[in-house]
Formats: sequence, structure tokens, C-alpha cells
Amino acid sequence: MSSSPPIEKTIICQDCVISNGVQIGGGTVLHPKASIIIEEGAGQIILGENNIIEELVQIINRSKEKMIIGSNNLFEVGCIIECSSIGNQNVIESKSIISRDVVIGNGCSISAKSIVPEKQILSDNTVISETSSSFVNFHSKIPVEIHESIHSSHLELLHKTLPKFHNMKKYENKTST
Amino acid sequence: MQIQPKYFEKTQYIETLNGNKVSKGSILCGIMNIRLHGKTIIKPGVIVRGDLANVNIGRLSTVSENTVIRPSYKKFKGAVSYFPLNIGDHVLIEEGCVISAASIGSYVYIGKNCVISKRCILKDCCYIPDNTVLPPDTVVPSFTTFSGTPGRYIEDLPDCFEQYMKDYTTSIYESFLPINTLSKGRS
Repeated sequence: MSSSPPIEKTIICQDCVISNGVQIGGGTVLHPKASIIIEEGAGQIILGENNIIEELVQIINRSKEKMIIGSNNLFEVGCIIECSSIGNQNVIESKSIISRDVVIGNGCSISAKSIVPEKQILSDNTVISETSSSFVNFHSKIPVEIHESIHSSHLELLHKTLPKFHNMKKYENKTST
Repeated sequence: MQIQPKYFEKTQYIETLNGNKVSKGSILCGIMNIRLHGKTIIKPGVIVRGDLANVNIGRLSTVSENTVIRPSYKKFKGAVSYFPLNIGDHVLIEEGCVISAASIGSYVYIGKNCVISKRCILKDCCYIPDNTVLPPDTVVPSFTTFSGTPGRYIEDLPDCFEQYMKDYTTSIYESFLPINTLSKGRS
């Protein structure tokens, strides 16, 4: 199911902020007002293929090491990501905050408005959700399966519709290190 | 209830014939798919995603700063499709919300920093306090309050809520004045 059609083009809308030295894989979609920022003196950010990054998402690298993000991830509106590495097929919902030095495996899902504290390591298929009374942390494959079934067709739709309405930012994949 | 008048600079807002006041600092994607039915205020920093699907916003509604209004999607007959988002009349949405509901009725109050997840349905006359997270596919019935994370039923609202929201949103619209009229009135 996860084998999405090979889409080479990267879609970046005009209002996005992208620092120099960010590598973005093919097929990734950035909605308007998304930002990928490397702070001064910080390491590179390497984004994989077929990610969807929605509005007001901030991916910031503040540490000196490289920040590596895998493929087929979905970052929903307004989340803030400062962690050191993210695997594949993760869902990070609206307004959640992922702090520094967090390592996220594959197929994790982080619920809306939850905060992942510093230096946590999330193994594969972890589900994190912060409710008003408790902090839920368990392993389940169900969210990943739902995400997998939707993600490729969602990407296809965005690749069709977004270029009709937005001015595209030109992006050249700089291979210089 | 008396509301302190709020003034805005005339150069920062676009006023349409229907009385909509749309800030120039807001981002409206796909303008042809966004319908404002009149007397609606859209404040700076608001993002409305008309490019994904149609967005209808009713009369005398207010959308405050840094709110994102984006239609929700669902897998439908094998393909993902976005569907239209309807917002009724006399709706007040406060700052920093993420609205991706399927529909929002009339006379609805949504507090600060709320997350209304995908495909939620908010019926007429409901109250969502600050910092609420409504999980996907939630239906909020009429005359109820939902709050907390995840949003749960808390209490019923009195019958006068409809009238209250009518008065409140109308007075917000009427007290939102361009700064030029102020100087005219004084001179």
C-alpha cells in the first residue's frame, strides 16, 4: 500500500521560509507559511521523500548535529519540531511540540496539542496523547495503517491542486555539503 | 453588554460592498472559492484555504488572529477528497485556532487556541471554551458546552444563548471601527 507513484517534483508554495542548506526529497509538499529554519551555526536538515508539511509548521534545527527526517510523514497545522531525527510514516498532529534531542522511530503518531519532552526516544508504532488528566503512551499499529492507506492518494491530490492556486517557489536541490 | 470600541487602520483592511472587513495581513488562498456572506471580520494572520475546497462564512462572523481555517479530507471511494466547509452566521472564533471541521452552525463560540479536528460537526448554539481539542469526527449537539482534551460534554447552555451571541457578534462588528472615523468625529 505504501508504494506511492513516483512523483519527482517538490511543491513549495511561495510564502514558505526555507534556510540555505536544507535538502528536500522529491514529492514533498509544503503548504503556504510552512518554515524550515536552520539556526546560525546549526547542522543541516535533510528531509526525505513524500512528506506533507502543512501551514505554520516550524521545523527548526538548533543543535550542531544533522537533523534527519524520513519519508511519508505528515506534519499537521502549527506543530513545532526541534528533534534530532524522525523516521518514516509518522503522523504529527496539530499544534504539538516535539522538543530537542527527541528520536522518533517509524509509524509513530502524536496527538493534537501534546508535548514530547526533551531527550525521549520513541520506538516504532508509539502513540502519544496528552489529555487534560493523563499522559497516554502505548504501542499500536492502527493509526499507521490508516495513515498508510490515505497518504499516497492525499499526496496525489495535493500535487494536482496546489500548483493551480499558488505561485511555486523554485527549489534546486543543492548537493553541496 | 457594552464593548469597548476597537479601532483599525483603514489602510490595513479591505472593506467590501457587503460590509466585510478583511485584513491585508491575512492569507486567503483560492479567493474564488471563499464566500463571505457579509459583515464578516477577518483579522491579520488568518489563513483560509479556499484552494482545497469551498469555504462559506456566514453573516456577522468574526475570525481572530492567527487562526487557520482549512477544509477537511476523507477517503471516499478509493480517492481522497476535500469537502466544503460551511460556517454559519454569528460565529465568533478567537485567536490561534485550527478549524478543519466539516460544518459549523450558527451562534457558535470557539475560544482561544482550540483545535477542531477533521470532519467535526458543530451544530447551532454551542460553546467551546479556550484550549479545547475536539477529536476527529466529533458531533457537538445544540445548546451544549464541550471542553477539555479530548473535548467532552460539560453542561447545557440556556435558551438565551442564541440571542446573546446575536447581540454580542453584532456589537463586535459595530464597535470595530476604522481610525479615520474617530478623527472625523473629534474634529
